[in-house]
Amino acid sequence: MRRHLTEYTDTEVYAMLRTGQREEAFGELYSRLSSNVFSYCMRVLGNRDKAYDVFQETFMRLYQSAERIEHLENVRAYALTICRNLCLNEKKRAQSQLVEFDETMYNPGMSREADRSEMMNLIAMALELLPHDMREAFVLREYDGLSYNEVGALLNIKVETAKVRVFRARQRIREILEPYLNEFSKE
Amino acid sequence: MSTHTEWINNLLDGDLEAMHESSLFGELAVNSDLRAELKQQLAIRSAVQNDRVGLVPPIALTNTLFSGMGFAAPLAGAAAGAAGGGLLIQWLTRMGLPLLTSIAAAGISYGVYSSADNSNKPATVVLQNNTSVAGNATPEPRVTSASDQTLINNLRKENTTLRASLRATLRAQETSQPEEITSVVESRQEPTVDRIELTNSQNLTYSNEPRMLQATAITPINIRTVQYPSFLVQLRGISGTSVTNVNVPVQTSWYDNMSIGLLYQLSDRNAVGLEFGTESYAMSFEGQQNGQTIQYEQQPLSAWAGVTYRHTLPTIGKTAFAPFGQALLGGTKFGPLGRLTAGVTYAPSGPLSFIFGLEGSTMAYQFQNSWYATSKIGFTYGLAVRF
Repeated sequence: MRRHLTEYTDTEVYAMLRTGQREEAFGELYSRLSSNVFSYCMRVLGNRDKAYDVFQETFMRLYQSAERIEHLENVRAYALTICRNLCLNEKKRAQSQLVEFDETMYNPGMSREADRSEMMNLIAMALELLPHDMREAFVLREYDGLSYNEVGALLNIKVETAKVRVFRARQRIREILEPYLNEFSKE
Repeated sequence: MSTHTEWINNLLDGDLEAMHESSLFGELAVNSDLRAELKQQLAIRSAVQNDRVGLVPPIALTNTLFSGMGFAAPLAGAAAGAAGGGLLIQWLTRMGLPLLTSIAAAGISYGVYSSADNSNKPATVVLQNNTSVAGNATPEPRVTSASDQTLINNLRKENTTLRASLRATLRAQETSQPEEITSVVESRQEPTVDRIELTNSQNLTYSNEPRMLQATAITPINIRTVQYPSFLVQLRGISGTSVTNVNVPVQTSWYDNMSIGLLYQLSDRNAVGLEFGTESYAMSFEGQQNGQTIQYEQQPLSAWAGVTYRHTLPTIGKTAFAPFGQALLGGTKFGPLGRLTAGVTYAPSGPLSFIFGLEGSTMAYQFQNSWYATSKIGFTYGLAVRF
């Protein structure tokens, strides 16, 4: 009996991108990975339009990569690596364009979303104030649910370094949000 | 970093060693600052979890990505793949359009051929008898339809009467015109009979000179226009509203909610056929992703196809309006589809007719082993060509 796509591993579904089932396989991979990639784009870049662009580019490259790569062990990590590289490129481009960089840093577009709670808006703002290395480690750990080993491998750093970055990010976020957190705790 | 802060960090990660648990909790019991720090970290974690749940790529972004790659929407695809339609749905999705196109093309070709054949030739009917055929060579008798057969049967009856009359007339005129008998058949309205060749033991020749036949009363032939079997190609628009409420706007154009159908007229009341169209349905369903429950909403455009049955009632009075009811069973790539239509057809003259009606449809779909249904109500309008 033919198995449904949801029963295949990421690696198997990725291999199907080279077959006649490529459309269904891509849809399945998208449903598995889109949340991780989207979280990373949104919280690391902090700019919706750029996040959307990088998000789309990530999946297009993931799809195209199947033409070159026959076997991929950790598809999620690979997708996040593509996403991270694109985000870094976007950051570099933004830093070379001061005006755009400022807009990025202070663009409160995400915070304006009416249906977001105040606390979540504060988290998003606090993330934007973190150094990039801390931010991406924190997002990979807290938003994408990666282990420290995976975070270390993806960022090409030691596991201990990954732990330190996440720890510092937590502390930094707490410091930024402390006044608000105290208000919340009083309520 | 302080030891206790580090332990809190480990606690958040689930890595706090058992030997440090009692020390940390002992310190928390007496250290209000440490308790505040833990509360704040837990509040941040909770906020991050909530934030994470909300970070789902919007449908518009997904649609843009997939349409840019020439693919169908992913959630739709996932739902479609899991839908119970199985082989039928896949078959309808992949083969429905080519099959319908083939059938429509065949029907149109047949119609064009038939109409061309009829328009180029007069309605010639050759009556055969057991005896030898006299007169000029005529085409082989061609009885291609029930209407032709009905006409021939009626003409045969009349021919018997006519022949008897002719014999009587011949006997009466035998002395004055022994060699040649010219017969003139009274012209009838429809269908036009240009030439009737009568086979008899006597030599009958055709004459263009009009002469009144002194025959007894000829029973009029009741020939009615037979409308079936025939095909009907129907193009209609569907303007419906989803019963399911979603916040995602419809991203379709006016020409997306249309259908084309090919119906075969079983009788003047009943018709069956195939119908194919595209329509958007509001879909709202829940799914689990990364251990979280996510509410999905989408209104994707979807192709559908199905088998349809139509029952038409007699026309209203002497008007050209006739009520009809229609039912369709089919499927989309998401799942099975049912459709009920009630309306009127308006066929003023000729092969063209117009339809208008109210319509309700329900589509079932499956996502992560849970079934959902979405319904639409609205009206439909269009035109049909019979051939």
